[in-house]
Amino acid sequence: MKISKADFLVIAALLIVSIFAMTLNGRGEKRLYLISEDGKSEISLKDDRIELDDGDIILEVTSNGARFVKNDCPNKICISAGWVKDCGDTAACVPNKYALTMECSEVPYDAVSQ
Amino acid sequence: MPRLFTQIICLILIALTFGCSEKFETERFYSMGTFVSITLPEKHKNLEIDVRSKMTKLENLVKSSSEKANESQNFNFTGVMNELAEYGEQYSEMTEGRFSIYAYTIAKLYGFHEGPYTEPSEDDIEKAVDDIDKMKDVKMDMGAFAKGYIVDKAVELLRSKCVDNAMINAGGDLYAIGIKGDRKWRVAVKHPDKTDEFISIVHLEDKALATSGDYERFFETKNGKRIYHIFDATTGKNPEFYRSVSVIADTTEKADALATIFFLLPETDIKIRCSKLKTPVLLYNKKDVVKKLCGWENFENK
Amino acid sequence: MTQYHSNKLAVTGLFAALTVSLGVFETFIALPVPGVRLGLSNIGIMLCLYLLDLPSAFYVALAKSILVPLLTGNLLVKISISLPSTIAATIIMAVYIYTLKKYTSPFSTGAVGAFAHITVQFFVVKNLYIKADAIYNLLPYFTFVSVLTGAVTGYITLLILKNFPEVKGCINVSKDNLS
Repeated sequence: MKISKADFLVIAALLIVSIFAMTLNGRGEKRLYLISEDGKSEISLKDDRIELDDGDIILEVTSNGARFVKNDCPNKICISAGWVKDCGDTAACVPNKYALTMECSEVPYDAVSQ
Repeated sequence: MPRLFTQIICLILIALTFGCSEKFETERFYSMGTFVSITLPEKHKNLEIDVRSKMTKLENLVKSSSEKANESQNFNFTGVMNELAEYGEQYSEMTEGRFSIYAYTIAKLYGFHEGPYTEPSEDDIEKAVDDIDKMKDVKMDMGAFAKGYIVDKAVELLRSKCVDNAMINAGGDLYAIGIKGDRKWRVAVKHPDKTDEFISIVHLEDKALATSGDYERFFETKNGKRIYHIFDATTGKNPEFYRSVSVIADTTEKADALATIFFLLPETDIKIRCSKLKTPVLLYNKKDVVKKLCGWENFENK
Repeated sequence: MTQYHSNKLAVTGLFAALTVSLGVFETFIALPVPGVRLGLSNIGIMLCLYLLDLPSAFYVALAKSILVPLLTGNLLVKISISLPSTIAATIIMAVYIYTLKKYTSPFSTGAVGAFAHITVQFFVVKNLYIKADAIYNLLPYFTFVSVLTGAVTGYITLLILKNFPEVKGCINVSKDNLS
């Protein structure tokens, strides 16, 4: 019983599969963005409380995600949307034009129809 | 053995360089009462500004013309607005009046889109339905398909600048130009209640998709009834068939309009119309059952 | 006949003891990557597969996935994760050996087994404990390391097998059992 070429091929194949799988999600790092009329800005994922519009809008940020805790928009849809923590999650307050969105480079879709 | 090792390293390096294709960038901005995202190839990314200004310009035109017409009660339009009004007329005929751009008269009673939300009395609703019938003191809103129409205009602009692959998504009403890299554009249709679940993922190439749902804009009455933004112009009430309707079509305007129109129709009527129009439909009905009509499944396979 | 059976039983017991003690031993060896172990206990299972047969490999796998948690603590959680992944890895290694034995050695069998083991382990953890798809993002890093450690244990198994003829007397039954 000896180590053969086939052994190396099999091991190489398994390593390549692993590396290929890494490249699929290697860039799948989560990035949290706040979108407003002024454009899009990244929010770093660490414990924080962000006040916008002189405290009319308050965001709560943790290492996992973020949510709107206060918003002066009438329907509070963005607040009931809860935590924005997984790839593709979005909470939008359309009347005052603020949205939180979690982007990851590899999700199984390019767009969501809602 | 060392030779084998170098071979393995080479293979790994080859694997790493695989899959490098056209890179895309997504920009988002606010327009038409929703967040619009535009995904363009990196080399065309500067076109985002052009698309944005074109969409904003059209949006302002539709908005100001609608407001002016609602105030003066003169619904004779020209140009873009005339085109949109004609579409509205066609769709109204198709549904025997259930769909109407003047249904905004009813929606306004409930507090859409400016608030505050209230439940109007039966008399008020009846009066609004009657007013639409007589075209007296009505309010018009092209919202059901103007967004799709504007997306189409943006698509035209991109096509004229030789962009072969791109996607424009205006709050769920979207158009997929060409493909993304080595595959078609993948679009997920959101579950009506669960934020991170999807009821279908479709693969699109040069196609539009739009969804209407009772979860987009709604409020709940004191006794817990959900009132949402789509109204039957002949009854003044919300249709009670579905939670969400998605349509795939050749233009975003059509997909957008049909997603609203099919909301107003029972399933048997949708079947007849979607097979004639050749527009696949995905329904999520009030019993939480997903229905795929007119070849929707074909888009779920690659 | 009885000689054959008692021989086999004795060897299976030997391998089971080896597997369990290696399994306990390796909980003390820390690797640079958290959560990854060398998988030394897989040596015993591989020896079974090469020298005996699948049923005895199953006994050893079963003993390992129940006794090692019993001896190292946190019983139920560990058994629920270790049992399915060890059994699955054993089956996959058996299929791999019986189909490709002519061309390969334990060197790659160890890598295949480790790859299968960690993958099933992730699947179990995802479905029973951490119910988030996000953990699959970590899987490729773990499979990569496992393939390397698996190759190491496979190589050790190979060395053991090469030196086995000295005790051939007690298991020469295996020869016709293998093919």
